[in-house]
Amino acid sequence: MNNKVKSLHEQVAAALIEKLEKGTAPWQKPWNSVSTDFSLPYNAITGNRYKGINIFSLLNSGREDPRWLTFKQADSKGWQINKGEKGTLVQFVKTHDLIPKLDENGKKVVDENGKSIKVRTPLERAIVTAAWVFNAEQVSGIPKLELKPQLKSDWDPIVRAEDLVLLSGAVVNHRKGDEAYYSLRSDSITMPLKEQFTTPDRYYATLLHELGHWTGHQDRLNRSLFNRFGSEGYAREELRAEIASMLIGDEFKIGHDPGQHAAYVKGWIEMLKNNPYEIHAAATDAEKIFSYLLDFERKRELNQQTTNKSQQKNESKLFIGDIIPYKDSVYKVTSQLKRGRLQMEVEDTGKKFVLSKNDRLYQSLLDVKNGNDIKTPAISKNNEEVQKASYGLKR
Amino acid sequence: MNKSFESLNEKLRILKEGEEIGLTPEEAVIYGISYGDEFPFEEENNEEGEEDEQ
Repeated sequence: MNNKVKSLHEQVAAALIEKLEKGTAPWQKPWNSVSTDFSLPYNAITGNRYKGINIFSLLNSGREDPRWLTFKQADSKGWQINKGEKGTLVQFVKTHDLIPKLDENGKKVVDENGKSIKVRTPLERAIVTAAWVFNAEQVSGIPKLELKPQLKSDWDPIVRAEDLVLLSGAVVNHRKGDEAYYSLRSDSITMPLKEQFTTPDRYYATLLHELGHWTGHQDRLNRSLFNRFGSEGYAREELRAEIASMLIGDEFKIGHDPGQHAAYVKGWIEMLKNNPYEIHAAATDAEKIFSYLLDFERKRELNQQTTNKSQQKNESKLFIGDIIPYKDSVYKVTSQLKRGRLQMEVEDTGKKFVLSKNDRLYQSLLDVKNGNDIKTPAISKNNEEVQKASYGLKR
Repeated sequence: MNKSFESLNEKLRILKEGEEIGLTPEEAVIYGISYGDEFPFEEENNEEGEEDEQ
């Protein structure tokens, strides 16, 4: 490196080389699942975790408080940056801009508070901008640090980790021994037995690290995984998996259990010396791994929402095939007629009639169907089959 | 790819606090633009909101 102004990744790489030599790089340090123990840097206002190269720029500052914010964010809350404090550099990306919405006369459209309404407009070219942020320790008036709220899920971290592995569909084999690894040839993960780990979170931290390697398969994120142990390529992949482990450990609150690093440290130092941009690339790849794995959860949540909406839709109407016991009769919807009317049949008597949504009976049957009918047991005392039908509708 | 990598490196080297650099599509891919921290637009909104009120 020369004496020119250093870019952020060059500054970060230089600091990490020193830490690697001392064994104190962020991914070399273990932390446990107690959430007060450690947290990756996040924005004090939005609660969002910082990403990519910014994580290391902020961690390298050595601050204990994980909360960071811009001068303007502090100002908006009435907090003050302490006199003489220096900011820490981060980079933001812009892929769109917010442009004032104009009416047909070219005048700004305002909301009920008189503020200009903005429209999200894609930029022709992505923009990177540099900004200073300050740590909560440098800010007066900011509340004392509390536990980071669990924004996305209150699930037990271990259950969440187990579910993620299941959702991924990764093949996991267990074998007594001290090796945990992902095999590209068999596209499977091999783990020691669960009981060989001191705690469940250690087991899952290790398993999720291997799942990070699993994402590199050509059918997934397609990273170069054909690397000989000890080669630069091997060290590169291991760095990505270690950083991804940190991100997952933070998100899942299961901590981080660094692997055996001695074999890689020399390779990592050489790599960062030869190409400082490698830390930016590795941090970005780790974010890709993190995002890829968490997508399994997002997809499941979307499916769940779709199912719930579908159920809600079903609960708001009567459908062909619904069989509903009400008072002393059992009503069956036999067909759909025009204008939303239904052809009904009373099962006991075979009597047929047309039911409209405006009929009081329609709402009564719907209440029974949805379990909202508290007045009418709708059950014939001696008919057990009918009793079942009032809870589990036949279709 | 190497040319874009070099130009990206040069752009990042001259990027100072408060300044912006525009990336070509190739540079944006190398940077990993989709995985970075998004610019906090709410700050600009507040600022312009105040201006609007003046």
